[in-house]
Amino acid sequence: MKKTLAILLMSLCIILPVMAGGASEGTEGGLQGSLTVATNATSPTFEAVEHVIELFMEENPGVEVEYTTYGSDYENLMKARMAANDLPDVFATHGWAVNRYAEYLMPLNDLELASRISPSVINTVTTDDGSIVAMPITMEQSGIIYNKTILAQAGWDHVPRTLDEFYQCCEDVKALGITPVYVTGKDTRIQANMMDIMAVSMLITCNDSGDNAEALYNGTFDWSKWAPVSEFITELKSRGFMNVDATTADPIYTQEKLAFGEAMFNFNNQAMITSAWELNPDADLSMMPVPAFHEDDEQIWIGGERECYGIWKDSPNKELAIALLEFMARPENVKYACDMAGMPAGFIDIDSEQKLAEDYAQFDDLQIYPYFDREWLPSGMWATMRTIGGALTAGEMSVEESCNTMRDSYLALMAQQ
Amino acid sequence: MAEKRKTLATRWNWLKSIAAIAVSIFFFAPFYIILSLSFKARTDRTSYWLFPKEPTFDAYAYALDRGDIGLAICNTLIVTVFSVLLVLIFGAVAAYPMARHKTRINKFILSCFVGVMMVPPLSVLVPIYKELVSIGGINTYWGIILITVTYNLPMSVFMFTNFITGIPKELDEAALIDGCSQFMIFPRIILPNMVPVISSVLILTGVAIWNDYSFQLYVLQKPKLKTITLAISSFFTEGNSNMPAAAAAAVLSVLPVAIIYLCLQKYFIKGTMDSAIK
Repeated sequence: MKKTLAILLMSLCIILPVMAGGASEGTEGGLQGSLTVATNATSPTFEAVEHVIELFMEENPGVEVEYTTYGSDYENLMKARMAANDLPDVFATHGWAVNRYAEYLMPLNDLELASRISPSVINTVTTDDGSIVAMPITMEQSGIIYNKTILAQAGWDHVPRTLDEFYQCCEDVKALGITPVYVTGKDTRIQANMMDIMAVSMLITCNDSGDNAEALYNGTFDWSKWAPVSEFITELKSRGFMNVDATTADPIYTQEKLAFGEAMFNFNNQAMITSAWELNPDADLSMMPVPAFHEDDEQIWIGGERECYGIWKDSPNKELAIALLEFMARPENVKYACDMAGMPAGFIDIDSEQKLAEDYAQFDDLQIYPYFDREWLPSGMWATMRTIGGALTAGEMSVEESCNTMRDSYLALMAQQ
Repeated sequence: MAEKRKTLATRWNWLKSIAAIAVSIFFFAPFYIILSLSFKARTDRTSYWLFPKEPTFDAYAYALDRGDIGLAICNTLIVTVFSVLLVLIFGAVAAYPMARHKTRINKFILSCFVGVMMVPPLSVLVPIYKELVSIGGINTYWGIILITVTYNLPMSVFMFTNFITGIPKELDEAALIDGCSQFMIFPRIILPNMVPVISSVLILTGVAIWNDYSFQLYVLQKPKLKTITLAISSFFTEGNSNMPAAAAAAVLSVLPVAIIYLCLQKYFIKGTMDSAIK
């Protein structure tokens, strides 16, 4: 017994210190040290950026970069790390560069790359005092994913331009026996995303939007105006345009439903199309703009930064982090990442070869607006939108109740600011 | 009459066997689905219940290569083995005095242990994370072992204390009369009698630590430190999933535990049975 205990304690004493982590130090000339880079990117964007980082390490043999994705756990992990002021040297800002991460990020204005950031996305990474806090490799230009073959089968030669046309198109697709709108209610993010996109069209860019934007900024918004946004969900549900398992379907099946033509529309970004092409490269998918609310309104795109990286202002490895960002921002590396991810570049003068380039070109004149919650709602409203989105789909909440819930949550969060 | 009774008994035995087979199928079904899925190609969209016509090891290759499941199993083994050992050692050592000396303070300490068991671990995540950062415990094995042991100790102390209370004090007194020192009573007399409860604690904490996700996600952030649960979760991301690879990873990660359990099952069963009788 004594012998066993002694062996056990000795092995603990020997192994535990060995197991403790530690940074590796390069021994060759040039840049040396280690960096941690964190993201929420998924395949194929993750692989694309990973390849670029490998090239950086080849060019700088003394540098070790640990590039990790935390997928859907990323936000929770980053919140804990922000609370502890212990962030990765370089991290993805996933659309929240200004509203959430700005105070933790180092301004990049003095770097050459800042002058090459695309004008269509630069505002989303620039704070009120003019600091550019993150570098968008790819940018988002989203609306609604659709299947071009099914659209043609349903007798349409153009994508629905208005909301009424959208509903009519859903009716025609339903008649073909295909799910018009694929909703995965197991994770209510999809319903929140639907409202996040439609709210811009229904409350901000429509002709009768009045002073909605200003009222949302200063806390005087009349939340009964939110009703059309919630009604969009209930309308799709009541008219049978959603899949029958809309309240329980798992998002992991979206990829194959789109890849094999079993769903017509889906509210996701371009990354979902690229994922679907992994399963079926021939899937005839594309992205259409958000339909106009009224006949005389304009269609819009929703967008902003997508795969976008900033440097932690308290990072002990700032020099390395800057070198990495400058390397990633080289035109050939940005082009590679964009081509692989199938997304538009966040930099000017990048001639990326996207499958969707032609489809986007048809709507070149449309404006890109930010997501509703990122621009017009206080931080924290996303959770409320998820709650009401799930409840509306399940029929557990009326439209009026959803407006009241949004109002209460909005006022509570505004009071905290 | 005897003949009739025998026929009835035979029929009853048959019914019991059929019920046992039905229950076994019910429990085996998820394993069958995982196994069959792990041999499918990613684009194979046939029912999960159908075994693939052309089984492939692609998912296993992907899980081992991209998912680094081998490394994840090693990491999980390190965390689980050391955590369980420390839980058993500290739990037993802490429980003995509390079971033998039921003073007010000891009773208070024991109720504190029980109280801590009621606190949801993630509710104190941020302060724990901050503390770990300040002592350099993030991305280290000792950091996750420290947290894991902390959260599993109360249950082991509680179970050990209750078990030791059931061992007659006369045994301690007899040992003293026979010349055993006060300090050696525990290792020589009490500990050998604790085998049943040790095996129960071993199974409960071992399985819980092997399957832990939340703390490992926050503490082990480096790819090289990923444990099994983190590695499997990486196959499911927003908008992209690789079910066959996840199934293959699950099969590979279950194997070590299944083999250990099959080799040692007679000890585990004896231990839990003895614990129940006690």
